[in-house]
Amino acid sequence: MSITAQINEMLQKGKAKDVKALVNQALEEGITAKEILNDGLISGMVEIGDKFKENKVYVPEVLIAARAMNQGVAILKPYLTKEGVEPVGKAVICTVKGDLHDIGKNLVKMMMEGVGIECIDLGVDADGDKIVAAVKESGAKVVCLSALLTTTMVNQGEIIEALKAAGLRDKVKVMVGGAPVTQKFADEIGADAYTSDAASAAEVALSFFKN
Amino acid sequence: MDTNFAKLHEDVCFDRAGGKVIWQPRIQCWIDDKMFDDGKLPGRYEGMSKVELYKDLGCSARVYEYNDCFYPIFDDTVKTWHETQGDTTTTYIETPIGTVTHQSKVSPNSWAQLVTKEWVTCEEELKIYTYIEQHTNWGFSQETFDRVKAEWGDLGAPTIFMPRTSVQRLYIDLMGVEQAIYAIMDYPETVEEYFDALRECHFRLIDVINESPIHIINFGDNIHSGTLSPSLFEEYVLPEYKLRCERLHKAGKFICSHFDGDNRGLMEYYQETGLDGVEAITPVPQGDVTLEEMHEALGDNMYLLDGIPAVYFDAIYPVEVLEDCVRKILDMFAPHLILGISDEISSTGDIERIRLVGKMVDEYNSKIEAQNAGK
Repeated sequence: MSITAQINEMLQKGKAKDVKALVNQALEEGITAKEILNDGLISGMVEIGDKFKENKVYVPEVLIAARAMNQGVAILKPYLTKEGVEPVGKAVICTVKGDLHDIGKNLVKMMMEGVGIECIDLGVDADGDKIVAAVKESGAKVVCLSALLTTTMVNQGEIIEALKAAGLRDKVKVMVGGAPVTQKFADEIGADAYTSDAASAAEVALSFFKN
Repeated sequence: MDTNFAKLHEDVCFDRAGGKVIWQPRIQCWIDDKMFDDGKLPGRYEGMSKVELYKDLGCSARVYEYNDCFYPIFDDTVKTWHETQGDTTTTYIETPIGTVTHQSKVSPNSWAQLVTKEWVTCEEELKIYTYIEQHTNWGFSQETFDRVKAEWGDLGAPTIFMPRTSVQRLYIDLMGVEQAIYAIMDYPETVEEYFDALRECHFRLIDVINESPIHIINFGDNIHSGTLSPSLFEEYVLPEYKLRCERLHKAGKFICSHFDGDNRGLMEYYQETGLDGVEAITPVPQGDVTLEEMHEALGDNMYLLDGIPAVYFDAIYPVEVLEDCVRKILDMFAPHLILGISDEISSTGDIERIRLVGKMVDEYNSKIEAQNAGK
């Protein structure tokens, strides 16, 4: 088994220490950081994402895999900079105003980072002003809005209005998600995408950066 | 109809209702959000207490106010206090092996508190919490029981939920999901020592519950199979359920647990748990399982508590969709059914739909009564 395949395997098992050791070993063997990132870490996260979508693994397995990924990426970062490897793109992510639930949002963030997207995480209870400011400052091209409650999902629409008012609506793609959110609701509030799970969110975000 | 709902509630739980069922919607979120938003309940409900609201709606309540009857008693080595500064409250628990703290902040958007520091953030703090569980006993307040009974009367049988088990306790009360998962991965022995202490602490509570006049016991676990994966459930939760149920059943209690998240990954375990019923399973379109799958997983003997997706009380769904759902649930789950909302009506929900469901349940029960009278 190649060393990148071993990294992939250990990442999926959430074995952060093994992933770190293997990443170091791969660098010592002269494998490029880009190759380790794409063929070991990202490919492992993509596989975990697919399994998550199919209910073969659950949040705990995704979390520990993502943590292993982050620890591997931390080692690679200086090498990636040297090699001129840039993130796929930037996304602002948050749970909307009035809502303190963050597990779904964190999962989406992890899956997005897992495919190479840099996330600006505004945490929970975020309103339009905060999001507009973050988009202006970061130049993010994607905004991801999470809501777990029927009472707070309406705030996703208010944030889209705030982006319009700030003249940013045409510059960003807005993605919405959360337990009560549906495609119909996403269409009504003028979101660009709705996804029902974190792995699909990462795929759709990636497609926005690639198109 | 002037029904003694407390009696009917226990009769349904203990199979003495002759096939009748009971309608017990939960409305606390609706009340809280309206009160936070406007300082009063809307329209004709303005000024009503929760008890008065239930009486007005003509339905039974799941009276978890009885929870206050049981209280923890720390021994002399454990001291607790809190301080409030501005909008932040810090609570301290001091033990001979160290002090743990919890910090929360007022949210400007609801009465929910934003936790800014969890009780346990590292292995050492978990060891302190293990000590706390080891030095906690339980008391029962007859005075509180009498007060709640006087206030709620016959609206519902005395009911409580127990503190959360093992992983759910870490997830929701002590660490947050992410840190708890890392803890289970990084220092499993310390986590398991904590679970042992927690189990023993809850056994002491069960001894008190078993001596009490409260017969309907819920494990208030708020289980979501997304975060509590089948492997974690099988390793850490299922064995706890079996042990708890064995002890509570010896005292003749009715036992359920609150599974208000996704359920697909855990349904195969329902019948192994020892529970009599499962509360708040949420079917599609809000949850991840169908009524048919729920029925198959519960079998003919286990009870469904709740079952109507909360979104069906919102205007986005026509009333007919709600009616169809209620008919289907009655048809599939009665008589092992305590009908309710999975898991509460939202503040965006139409409270009048509660009356509609109540009417359907009354008609169902009248039909059953007539059938029984004709036998």
